[in-house]
Amino acid sequence: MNRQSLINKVYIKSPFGKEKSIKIFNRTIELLKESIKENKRVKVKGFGRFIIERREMKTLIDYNKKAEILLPPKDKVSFKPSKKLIKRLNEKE
Amino acid sequence: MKKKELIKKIAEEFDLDEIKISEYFDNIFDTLAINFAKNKNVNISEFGRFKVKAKLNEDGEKQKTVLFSPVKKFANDVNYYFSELSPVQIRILDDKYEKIKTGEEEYTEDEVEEIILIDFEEAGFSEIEKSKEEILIPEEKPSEEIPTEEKTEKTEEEVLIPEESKQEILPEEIPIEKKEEKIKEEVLIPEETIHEIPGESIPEDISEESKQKYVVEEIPADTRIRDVVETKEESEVVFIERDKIFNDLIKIRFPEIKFEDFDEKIELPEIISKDKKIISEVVTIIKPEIKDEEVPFEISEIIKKEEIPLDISEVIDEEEKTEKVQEPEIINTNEENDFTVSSELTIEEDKEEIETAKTSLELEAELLKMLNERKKILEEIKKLEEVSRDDLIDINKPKVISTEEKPNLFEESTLDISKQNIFVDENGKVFENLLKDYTNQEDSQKETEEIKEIIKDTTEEEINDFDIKDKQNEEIAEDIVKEKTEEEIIKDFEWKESVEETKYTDNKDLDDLKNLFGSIFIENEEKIMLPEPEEMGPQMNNPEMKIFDKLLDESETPEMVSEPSKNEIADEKNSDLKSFNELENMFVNFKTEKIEEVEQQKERDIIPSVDKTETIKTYDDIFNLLEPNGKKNGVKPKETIKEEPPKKFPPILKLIIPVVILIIIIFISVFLYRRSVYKTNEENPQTQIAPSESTRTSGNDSVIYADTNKTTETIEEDVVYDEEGFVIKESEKGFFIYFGNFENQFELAKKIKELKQKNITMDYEKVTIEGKEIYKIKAGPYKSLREAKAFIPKL
Repeated sequence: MNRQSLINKVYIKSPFGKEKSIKIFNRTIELLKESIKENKRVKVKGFGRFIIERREMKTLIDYNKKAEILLPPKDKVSFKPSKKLIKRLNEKE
Repeated sequence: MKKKELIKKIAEEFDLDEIKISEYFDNIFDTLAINFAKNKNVNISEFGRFKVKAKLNEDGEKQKTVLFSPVKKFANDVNYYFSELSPVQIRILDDKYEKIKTGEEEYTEDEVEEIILIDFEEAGFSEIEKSKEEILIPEEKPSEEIPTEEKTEKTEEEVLIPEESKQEILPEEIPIEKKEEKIKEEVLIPEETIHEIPGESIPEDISEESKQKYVVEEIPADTRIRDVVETKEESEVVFIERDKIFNDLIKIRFPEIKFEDFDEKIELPEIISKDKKIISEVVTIIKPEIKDEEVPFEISEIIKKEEIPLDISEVIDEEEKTEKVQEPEIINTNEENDFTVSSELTIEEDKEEIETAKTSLELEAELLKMLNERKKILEEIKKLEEVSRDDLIDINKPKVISTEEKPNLFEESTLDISKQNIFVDENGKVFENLLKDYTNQEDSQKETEEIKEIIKDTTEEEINDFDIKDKQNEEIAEDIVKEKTEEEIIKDFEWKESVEETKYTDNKDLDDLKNLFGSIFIENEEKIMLPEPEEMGPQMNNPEMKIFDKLLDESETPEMVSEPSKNEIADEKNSDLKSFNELENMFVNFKTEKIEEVEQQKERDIIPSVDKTETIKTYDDIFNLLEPNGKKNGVKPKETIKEEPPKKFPPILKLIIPVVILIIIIFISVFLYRRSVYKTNEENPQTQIAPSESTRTSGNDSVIYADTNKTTETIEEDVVYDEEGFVIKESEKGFFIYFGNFENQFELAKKIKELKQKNITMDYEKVTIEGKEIYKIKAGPYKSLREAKAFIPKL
């Protein structure tokens, strides 16, 4: 499923015009991104939460090169679905 | 941040109800959830990708979850702290590593250091214990000898963490470099603190105060930097010896001084400043070749070279010994012994004074002052040396001119020129003062003597008025200079004019002079032809014109103008005659002067000539004027040797060279272009044939890729059949049918799909016709022509 198809599906149910709905959709995603960057935690009720997690430094062993490699730390975006969503996914089966 | 805040923001931006937007917002996530429930993955461009995946629950049951993977740009934006970091290879694993894992061996001390330095403890990362466990560090701490600064440097080099990231991550905690800087700042005490120390106070009290100022935290070697921070908070302070701090201070303040020579220089400079004469005498004793003028200012350098100890008596004793050994017959004179005695006494007295009178702290302050003074003096000397090297040139000893050809030129002529003031500016001014400064000191001395004599005459009359004397002296001196300049200018100009007039005459004989001066009255046109001085002031007119001015002054008597009558007309004629007689007398006098001048010039044999138009701005111009030319002889100006013009390229070559270069460039460019085209054709003849997505999805595409390589092999083929776009060719393997002209890869892929459904073995080739790339399908092989022909309608 692409972005456009999602916008179309949302637009059918929404009370706004198409242009406006596209604008609002783009704006919401921009705000989501910004808020994730700034606050490192965004919660959407009934859906889940976006969290920035820090992966600490790691040492790995590359057996092909026979060398020990150190991976630098990294900030990752992770999505944790809420319980409602998990229920919804697993009920319909 | 929550959902409500998002909705509020959007509502404010678009001026809409929050309820509608909240509905819209819910709508988005509902649609997403519905898609997840249908096991559909969702790709939102510029944001990320939601993926549904089954995972084991905590209870061990399978459960669907949603995973999110952001877009690269978004992930990099989030990871801007560590974006520049890259994985680092710590070490290569040997057989030793496996043995250590099992516990057979242990790391040596050097290896342990390396490993511990990789800790990111100093970098301010949290949870160090995890990394320790992973890196398998033994519990031993680093050896005592490692200072803290080296640790931090090594860690920074190896881990390659940018400084910005550290500061951004942990703005509250002070990074390590800053801590070190703070420690250095404490060591770098400003000058004021040192000068504040009074000389009379007791040294013990001051030492404690100074210790408090020179506070430095001595870090125990075992502790890591995190421990150091804790000690700093607890204000555990350790004092270091004062001498070390003082040495460090001087090292930082005066990096130019070598620390090895420092002890010698502390004791010397005062003696030098006081008793320069003694040391100069000593130097004369040591080096009799050096004169008093040539003794350099920095005596310390000589002392370094000669390695003189402080006690000069020892040196002299050694010299005496050597002299005695070499020449035992000669007995030392009394004069040398006198020198030795005097020098010894003075130096010993100074030493005793220094030791007794001054405490150690006073010495510190004084030494710093002395060093500052010495530094300033050295800078001044450097400046003077630079000026003397660059700007000033010894006029008496020019480098350019060879002495053999004209040995007496500059010894005499320069002095004469300085008196005659030939050097003229653009505005007609004269370089008097410059020449006085650099050429003749004797003249200046004479002038001063003259002035003194004048002053004496005045002072005898006015003995008591000292203030008036000085003013008068200055005024008198100025008047003398002014008078001289005005007189000299006129003289010089007359002299110069005489020289220039000689140029127009071929010879400088007296007959020619007569003709010249006769022509002035007979033919005024020639006078116009003479070049008039352009840039001269009113004072610098021709001498001839001066004569006319005198005549005019005589003619414009009031009697002549006021009473015009018949008698007066006759008087006018008489007056003209009178004036004419006077003129003759004037010319006779002028001729005699000329003859005298010419004789003087013959005695000199050389006359420097100056063009008025030439401007003198630098000293090089003066030398250019003074250089020997044909004009200086004056007698034969036409025989001046014309310098041959420098060899130049003929004009044809100027045209040919760029043309040749252009042609070469064109050839090279064409060659490179052809080569590149050939390479591209050779390297990737069929890589562009990668079939479209439709063919990729169809299962048996690997066959096509495999067969394409075969087509590159050249197989001898003969055309057997050619009808309706179908061509059958014969080769060793059999008969092949060629058909189709597909420019588009998509159409080709469609056709191949159709043929695959019919289970027809086939292949395709790329052919370039008139620059266009065309794909042709090749079906076969068939055993005979009939089979091939029978297959054509199926295709």
